[in-house]
Amino acid sequence: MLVIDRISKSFGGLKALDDVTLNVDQGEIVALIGPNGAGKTTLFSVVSGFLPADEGRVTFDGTDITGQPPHRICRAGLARTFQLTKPFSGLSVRENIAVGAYLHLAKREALAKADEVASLLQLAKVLDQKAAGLSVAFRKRLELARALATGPKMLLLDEVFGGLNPTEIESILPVMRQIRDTGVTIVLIEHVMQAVMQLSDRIVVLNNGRVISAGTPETVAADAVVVEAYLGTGAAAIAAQETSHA
Amino acid sequence: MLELELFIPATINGLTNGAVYAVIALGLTLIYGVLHIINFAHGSLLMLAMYGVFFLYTLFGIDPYLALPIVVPTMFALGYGLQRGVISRASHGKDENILLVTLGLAIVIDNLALYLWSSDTRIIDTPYAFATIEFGPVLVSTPKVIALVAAVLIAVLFWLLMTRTDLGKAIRAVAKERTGAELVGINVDHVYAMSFGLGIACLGVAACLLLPTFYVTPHVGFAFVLIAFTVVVLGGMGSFMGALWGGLIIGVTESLGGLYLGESLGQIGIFVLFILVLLFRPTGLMGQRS
Amino acid sequence: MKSIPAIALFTLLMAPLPWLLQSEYLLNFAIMALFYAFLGQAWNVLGGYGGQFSFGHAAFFGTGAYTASILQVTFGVNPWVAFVLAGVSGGGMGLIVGFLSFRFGLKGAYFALVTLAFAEVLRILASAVEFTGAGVGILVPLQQSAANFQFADKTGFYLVALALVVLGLLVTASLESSRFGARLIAVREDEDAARALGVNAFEIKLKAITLSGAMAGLAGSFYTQYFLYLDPAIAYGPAVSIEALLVPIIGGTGTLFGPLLGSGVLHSISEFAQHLTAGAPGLNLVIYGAIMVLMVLFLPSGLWGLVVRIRAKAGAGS
Repeated sequence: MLVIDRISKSFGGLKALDDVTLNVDQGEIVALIGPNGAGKTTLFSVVSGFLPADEGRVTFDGTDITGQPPHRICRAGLARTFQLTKPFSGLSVRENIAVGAYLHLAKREALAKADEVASLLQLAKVLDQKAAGLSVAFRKRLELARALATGPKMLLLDEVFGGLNPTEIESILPVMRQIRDTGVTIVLIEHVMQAVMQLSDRIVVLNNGRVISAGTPETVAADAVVVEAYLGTGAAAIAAQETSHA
Repeated sequence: MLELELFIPATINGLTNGAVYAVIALGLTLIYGVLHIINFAHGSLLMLAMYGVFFLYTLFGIDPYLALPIVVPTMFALGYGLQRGVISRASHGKDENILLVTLGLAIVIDNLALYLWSSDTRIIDTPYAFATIEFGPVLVSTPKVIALVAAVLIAVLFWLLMTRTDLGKAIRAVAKERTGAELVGINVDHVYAMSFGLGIACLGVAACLLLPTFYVTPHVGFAFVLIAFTVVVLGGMGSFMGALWGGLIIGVTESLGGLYLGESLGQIGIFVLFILVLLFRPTGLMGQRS
Repeated sequence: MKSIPAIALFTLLMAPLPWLLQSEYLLNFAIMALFYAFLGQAWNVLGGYGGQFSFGHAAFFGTGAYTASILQVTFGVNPWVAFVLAGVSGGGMGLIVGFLSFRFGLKGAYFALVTLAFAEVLRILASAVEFTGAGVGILVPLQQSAANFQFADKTGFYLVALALVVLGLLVTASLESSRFGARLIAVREDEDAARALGVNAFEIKLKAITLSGAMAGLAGSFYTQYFLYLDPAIAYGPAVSIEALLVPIIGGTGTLFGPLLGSGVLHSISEFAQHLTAGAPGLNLVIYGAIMVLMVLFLPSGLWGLVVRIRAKAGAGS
């Protein structure tokens, strides 16, 4: 469904994305992980049209979307959230979500859809509150709700679990599966391994702008290259030693 | 059309005017570069300084150039006070509020001047107002040469301040990374106020340079602020050398525009240039563009 | 729309005013207050709801004013037709300024500066070109009749001004309840987030500035009919641009009644100050400017925000 083909992006002298290739099939939940500064959010920004790529192509649902503006990519069915949440502060939660719903629906249906999405994400209680006053956990869910309200075929979620406590994470996990079961493909940038391991069908690991590993959660977790990316050179060897002693 | 006899004096005239524009813009550049605020009151404060120089001359007989030690520190103090007391309190987290507060100050100052001193044109008559210096075949007005020299001097002084003094280092630190600067013990509020004060002090210098050959009315503030912005935007916000070059270019543009298009239409060159630079100049403009 | 009852009430209360006031002086005051309220409503569409602060709304106002006067005086067009065309030309100028500014991504202070520059360019052009009467300006011949959009009895002007304000209220109310308005507000709150949700921010802002310009153009035409004289300083000068933004900012940006409240309060203060100082020039604006500074410092949501807060407290207390 999403084909990222040899995408490169530099900022001045810094190569943020280096020849990144990545495929996502319809109905999958794919996690994009990697140390800070690996280029994950940059990749999202390029795919969703906020940043132009220097090289490479992005194809979504059969259409080349490289270089298209964000609003057109969203209309094509690819919706993204932001790592640092961007609520419409002056509007209520309902009005926030409705903006997403307005993409395909007229006023009354959009407001109804907003209520529907809010219930799904346990935001029903705060529907009338101004978004400005929400806590981090609610704001993350609002980000997700807004994107979901656009009726997307695929969601790019940037650290949607960041800042949530374990209980909150546990309560959102089934919701994510529910969303996937309705036919929405999900790509998540995540640091919260609990969510990554439980949700993803596949994991792709980025480091220094390059894909260094990809596969099932078990494969990637055992991959020495990945361990070293997070823990430093030599860590894989130490880890292997410890497991053999146990 | 391109008669050299008209062209050269117009260009030189433009350069000397441009030098004063550069001094005005240097202050604005410092303010924008450090505080990232676009000071709409810049022109109004210049106008205030000019009235100050005017009254010092007409009431106390103090020559504009000799008034520098009075006017410059006064403007500095005014700028420091305004930033510390009014502008810094306006933000409430939104950039638009700073925009509105400086606009509000401009409105108050411009109209207070109108109310107190009416819109009569004020000029001073110094003995050297019409003195000229010869540069080969061309005669240039002495006060304007002084203005050119002063502008270059100020630019050099600024450069020295920013690179050689502790205050300059503190200013650059705060401009680059406010939180980090705070963490190493720099009093950020004070640095902001100092920067604003220095920027406004430049207006004191400009006022003393302008009065011998120019006039003052309550409306000059508005005229100058647009020119100052054009210079800063042309020179690349935050660059002192840019402000200097920008000032000279704008001065020459205005002068040649007046020569070829007539007095009133000539002004249009500046604003058209301003619009074009705003629209087309790529990331020479920092901050709010992205 | 939920505000319709409030707007209807406002119309009903204001309509009989000329017959209740019985004073030419007060009627003139009311006309001016309504006129500036409408100008403020125009600004509010782009600035309050769209979040794009224009410092050069005179560009649209003046274009409308010149269109109306030139069509009448030079081409003999009926003033009412000229009035409508003034709205069109104001909108057209909005489209041009908006297209250039937003196409090149100007926001915040840069947008404010460029609108200021456009207004200045137009002012200089108007003062240099014979077509607009150059520096001398345009004088519209006195020919009082309703068909000629000149009323001997000011009541006619009052009713037109009131109609414009009610139009402004309806436009604003529709912004508050429509999909377009919701998207415009979203762009104001966070443009990137809006774009990520499928909102074409460029198009939305362009529509907003065109609408805002059209309204300002109508205001310009009304001014022409009321004062019958126009010059570059009046049409394109900073005074109009400043009034256009002061009124909604003090009254409360992004609110339905903000501009009305702002205009009413400011002009009442102005009249009061005029009496005290026997009409010295400049004092009005000193007061306005001081109020604006104080507002931004202490009451950023404007007078209407204060009203809302008082109502909320009263509701909580009871």
